[in-house]
Amino acid sequence: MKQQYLSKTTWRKWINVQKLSIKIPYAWMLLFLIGPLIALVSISFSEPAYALPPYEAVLKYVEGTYLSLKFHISNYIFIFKDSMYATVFLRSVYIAFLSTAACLIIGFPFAYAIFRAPPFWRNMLILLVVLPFYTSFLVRVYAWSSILSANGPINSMLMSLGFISQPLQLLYNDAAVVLGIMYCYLPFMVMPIFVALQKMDRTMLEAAYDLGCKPLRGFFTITIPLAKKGIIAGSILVLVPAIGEFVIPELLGGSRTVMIGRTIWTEFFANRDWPLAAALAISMFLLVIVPINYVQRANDYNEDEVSNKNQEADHA
Amino acid sequence: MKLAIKKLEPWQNPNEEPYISIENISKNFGNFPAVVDFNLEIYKGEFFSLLGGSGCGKSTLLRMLAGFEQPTSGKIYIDGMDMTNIPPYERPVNMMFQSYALFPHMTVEQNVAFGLKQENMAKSEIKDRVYDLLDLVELKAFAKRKPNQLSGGQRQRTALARSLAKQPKVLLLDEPLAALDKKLRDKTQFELVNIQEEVGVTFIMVTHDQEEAMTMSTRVGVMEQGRIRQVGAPREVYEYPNSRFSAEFIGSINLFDGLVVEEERDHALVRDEENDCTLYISHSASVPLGSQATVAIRPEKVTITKTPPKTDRNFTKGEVEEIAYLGDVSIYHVRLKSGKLVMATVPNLQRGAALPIEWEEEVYLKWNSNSGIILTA
Repeated sequence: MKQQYLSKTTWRKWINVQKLSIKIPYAWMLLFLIGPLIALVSISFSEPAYALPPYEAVLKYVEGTYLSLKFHISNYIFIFKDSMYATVFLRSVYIAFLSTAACLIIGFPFAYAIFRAPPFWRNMLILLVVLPFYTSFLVRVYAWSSILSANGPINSMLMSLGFISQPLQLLYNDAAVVLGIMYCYLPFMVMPIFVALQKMDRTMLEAAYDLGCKPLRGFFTITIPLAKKGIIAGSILVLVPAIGEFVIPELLGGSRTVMIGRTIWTEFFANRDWPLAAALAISMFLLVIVPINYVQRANDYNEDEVSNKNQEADHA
Repeated sequence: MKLAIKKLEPWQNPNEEPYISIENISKNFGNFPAVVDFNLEIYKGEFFSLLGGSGCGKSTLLRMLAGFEQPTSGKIYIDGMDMTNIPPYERPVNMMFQSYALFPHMTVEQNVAFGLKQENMAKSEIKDRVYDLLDLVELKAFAKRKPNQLSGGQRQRTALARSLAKQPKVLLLDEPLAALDKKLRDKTQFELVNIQEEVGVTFIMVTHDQEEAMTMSTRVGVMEQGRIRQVGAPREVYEYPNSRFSAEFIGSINLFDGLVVEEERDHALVRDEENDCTLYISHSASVPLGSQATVAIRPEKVTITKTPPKTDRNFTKGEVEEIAYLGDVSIYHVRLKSGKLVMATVPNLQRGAALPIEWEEEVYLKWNSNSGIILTA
């Protein structure tokens, strides 16, 4: 009898749907995030070789004798010795920062306008923010390259109005890349800020006015600080992918706009140096993830959550 | 000593100037009239409560006093100044919000200092004032905490300190105790009254809780559908309701409908045929003989006995249907022959005593001639 009882609970444990629903995303993460990451790390510690795939695996079985485990840190040493990589990385961060700042400058007023709009317009504006996602990312970036080109609409308009006689060089420079990133990532900035604003208790502003605070000052002392979480979340969402952005600098950037994504691509495909490319990718990942994780943790400290620890104090 | 600061009753003094005058205020939200042609005068140092159910317009009125809503018509004067078109940040009025609306990104100290900072006051002065206030609400030890690190009661007191910081002429309180639990609410009621006496600011409170309004206020204004129904001291409103609405809204009440059959200067007689009950009231009905009148009797003024009374008036008969034991008192629900339900409150004076009257018992309900009050509205 006891045996039967046990088997029944074990069976129940396995089909527990609630637990399963948590396990599925974990399994997904393990399979498609952690797995490839481990593969990438192991490639980054391997040695390049004339083979297919073009590296000598860290862990391999040597015919008939033993398992060999060899870690090469030479790839990492190479990256940190050659100042070219540091320059490229800093340049990527610089461009990404500029783009994030541009996104914030455009995105915050945009989010604020959506927040203040009457309900019908609010939904319309949200739709407008998301609408570009219905077209291909590549097409959108291409569109910019044609808009900014020498005989594109901007130049031809400026020329026909007589402001300039020669077409301006709008394409293939940092500004074009920043513009492209800003355009493509704007929704990632707008949405978190909008959500943060909407979560804000509107009586906060009333309370501020009531205490003698004029609307403009209230905006800076109440609205912006209360939207801080959205601002940080949006900035991270733009900054992180922008650092590793490949398509936009490739299509809109000039020869000087070499970003880390482009470098990794070159190492992988042009030089076929997979271990170095992997080491580059891992280095970038660590350099980006550590500070951002720190910021996010500080941000996660939930300000509106009520602590119950002090509730007893009321009746003491 | 308490006698010396016994509540003044400035509204009784014809020479007293009102401090806040609300004159013919109306407010419509679209087609919905939230406040209708509202007039009210409030005097300096009062603790005035606007009492009413949800949607009666009491909060709208408070928001118009604060300046968050513009009246559709009418004027608001505070201390002789027309406030009608003054924005909230320029009014000498502060509000304590129902949700407290504490700024979550600021500490208790910064929250309280917020209003003072808007006036470009010297830093040291701000600090002194903030700590005086935190002392008043006993929150000095919590000055550096953020609102989310406080208990409900502490947050309530932070909100109070913040709204008092600018020494407003009028403090508006929107259901200030609604978010607290019952026990804390009872305690805080007295604290709030003491603080009001200490700072001497005129308080206007909005509440739906009649008990709260009665305990704390100098005067109560009973509101219904955007209009004021009765204004008066709590005792006055309770003992002398001027209408069915305010009688029924504040406390429980038994109502007998009948015809005025005798009308003298010092008494009136109302005959309720339906319940075969004659009511003798020791005040005049001030309505013509033979007109309809309602007699209101509070349940605690009704006595319940098993023996028939020796008079022919001010009593009725029925069967006990329900007994609600509340600890301090028991409420008897007695069903009359006509189907009418009458309530009688009996104090439980002795512990453990068996209930003298049981369910389904035939009982007599009687009251004194000065217990009833004739309502004509």
